Amino acid sequence: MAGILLTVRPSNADLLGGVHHLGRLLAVVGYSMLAPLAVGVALREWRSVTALATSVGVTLLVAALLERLQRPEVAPRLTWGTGAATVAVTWLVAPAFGTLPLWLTGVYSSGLDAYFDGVSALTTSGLSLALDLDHLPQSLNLWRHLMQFLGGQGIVIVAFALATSSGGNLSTLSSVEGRQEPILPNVVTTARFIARVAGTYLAFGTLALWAALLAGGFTPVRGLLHAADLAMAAFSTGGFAPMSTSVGYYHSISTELVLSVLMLAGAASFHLHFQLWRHGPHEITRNSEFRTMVVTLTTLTAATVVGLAATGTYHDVEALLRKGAFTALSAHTTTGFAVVAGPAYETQWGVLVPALLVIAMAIGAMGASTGGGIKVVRVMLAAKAVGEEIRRALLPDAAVVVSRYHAGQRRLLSDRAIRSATLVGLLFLGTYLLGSLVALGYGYGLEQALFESTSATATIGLTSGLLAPDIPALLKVTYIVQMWLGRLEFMACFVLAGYLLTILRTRRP
Amino acid sequence: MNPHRRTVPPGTAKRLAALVVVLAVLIVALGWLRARLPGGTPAPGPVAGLAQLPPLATCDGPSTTPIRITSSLAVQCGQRFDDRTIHYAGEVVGDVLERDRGAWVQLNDDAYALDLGPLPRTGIQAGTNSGLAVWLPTDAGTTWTPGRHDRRGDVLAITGTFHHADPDDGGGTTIHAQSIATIAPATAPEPRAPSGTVIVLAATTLLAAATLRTRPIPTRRP
Repeated sequence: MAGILLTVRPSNADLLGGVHHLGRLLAVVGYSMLAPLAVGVALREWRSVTALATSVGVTLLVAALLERLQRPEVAPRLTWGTGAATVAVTWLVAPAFGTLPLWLTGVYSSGLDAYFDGVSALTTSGLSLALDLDHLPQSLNLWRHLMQFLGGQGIVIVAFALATSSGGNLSTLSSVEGRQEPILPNVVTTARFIARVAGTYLAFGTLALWAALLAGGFTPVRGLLHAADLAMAAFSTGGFAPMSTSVGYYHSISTELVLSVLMLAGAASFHLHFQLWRHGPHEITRNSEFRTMVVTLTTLTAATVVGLAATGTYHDVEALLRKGAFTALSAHTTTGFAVVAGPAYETQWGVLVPALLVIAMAIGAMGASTGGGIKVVRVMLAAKAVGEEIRRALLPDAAVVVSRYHAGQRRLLSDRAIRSATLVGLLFLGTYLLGSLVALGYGYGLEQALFESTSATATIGLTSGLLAPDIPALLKVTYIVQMWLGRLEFMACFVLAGYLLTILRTRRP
Repeated sequence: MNPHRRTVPPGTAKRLAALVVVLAVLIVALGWLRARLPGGTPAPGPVAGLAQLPPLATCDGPSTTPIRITSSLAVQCGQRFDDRTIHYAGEVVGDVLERDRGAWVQLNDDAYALDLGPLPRTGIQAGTNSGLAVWLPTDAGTTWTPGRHDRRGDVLAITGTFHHADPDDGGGTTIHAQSIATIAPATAPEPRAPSGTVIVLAATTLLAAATLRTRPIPTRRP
């Protein structure tokens, strides 16, 4: 596929154009660190302040140098291939800079672990190898969650909002960053709309969570910081939490309810948000993808609760709902918030429930949302294609079989859409299995291997207890690659690989 | 003449070389900073009061009383201790969540809690966190000091009822404390400011970035 796209070796101007835009995107990461830096100063967390200030400086310095590789009189070129490769490289380079302040304060066993958490944050996975999270300064915790928020909306999208003057030029980046169809005709207005939606949910989510946490016994300042952290992680379907026990730490049903709403909002496509804003709430009942998600979510949640009841671990309905339903929702929306300790999925939840969670994680959120996984829209299209084939077999040969679905407007099911959906779906399934094979090779059990591999590829963050700082380095690298592939939905990664192969194999004339 | 080479503006090679040099310097400087920034404060050492507590239970050993459990035992074989009176010890971390007639606290029993102290303060690494949620009744008091990045919190030894799936907490694994003793009070916070060299390095990097970003890129004369 990549070979077909990139039979021509990229010129130096193409490469310089890509590097220029990489610099611009890194600058967004650098400037974003100023918010936790200010919090660190206010809370007198001096070590964090030093680490954050250094990281801001280093990131902006490198970003400026990358941007300046090209003189301003030369307009930065950005072909589709260069744009795709730039996005793929950005999601590999930005985590290294994003994780700098955490690495400098010594909360990781190695540089690889720090990079793992950086990738996990920006891909909104939520898997973490951080040590002693419960003693982490609040400014650094804020930065972990802010990275997830940036990743959820796409650093690229944030860059659009900042770089309105070159919006048209940057439209290529958007098309390969998991949001193939622009919501509005202009990419800058699309970016502004996404920023407005995310900002609204973040503001209201933070206020609602703050109220819930204050009622739950938090002090105002710590409550506000935890609320902001949780709101960012929930809407970006990231799954980081300020404490090691995740959402279980709060012992609060109202907190869990607010988080559930935010997780659902994050898992809904920005197209649906736009239609809701433009046409009102009746779009929810018409949108085919949302209706499919309601069916899969309801079915998997009910099966999880019933399966959990059969294990005998929980004896009352409230416990079954707060543990089973919340975890199923967290898995399906690809958020990854936990309400039980990771090993409990294996030791106390039987075999069926973890399997159901793996299915929920594998399907994932709606397309063009902050979530990951195969995406509900692809599952829906594949299911409709199967239905169409069955109808075609049952009806007379002369009958014309047509399937439709609603996504803002009535659309015909095309062969191209089916092919694209099944291809990406198969790539996801293959990656789930390949990642499992690596863990199996190290002697881990099949259930844990599949659970962890699916969690990484679908950018979830739930762990069955396998993930720990002492697992083999190759397994960590495998999960890093899976998170990267899953976040970019393969295409940009293939283009980058094609770019590198083309550069290595072809000589200049 | 190679047509591809013509597309590269003059001076790019110089800028590329400058980028490589700056990256090399930054990597060395960051390595130096990483070795100096965390830690520096001696670990408070193992909590002495632990020795007076009953011996630890096991998942497959005889079920004798009194039982002392750890958070890892609670995950591995919590059902074995369900609704039984147990002993547990851990550091208060995070927040004291005061509610009706009591408070929820998180008591960690990992190496940072019972031996080393906070990682950001000591710089000593010893795995990840583990602990249990404990319900403290109001009559036990709520003036506990939780651990932070710059201090170890109060270490409490409690006796209480272990709930594998607590109906009062929506199915969470908890302990309802009946008696509480502080076996190690919270350490004093030590907001150790980084050394002057470290601050100068951070400030220099910030300044260099600010200068470079605000300075317009020189354009070539036609």
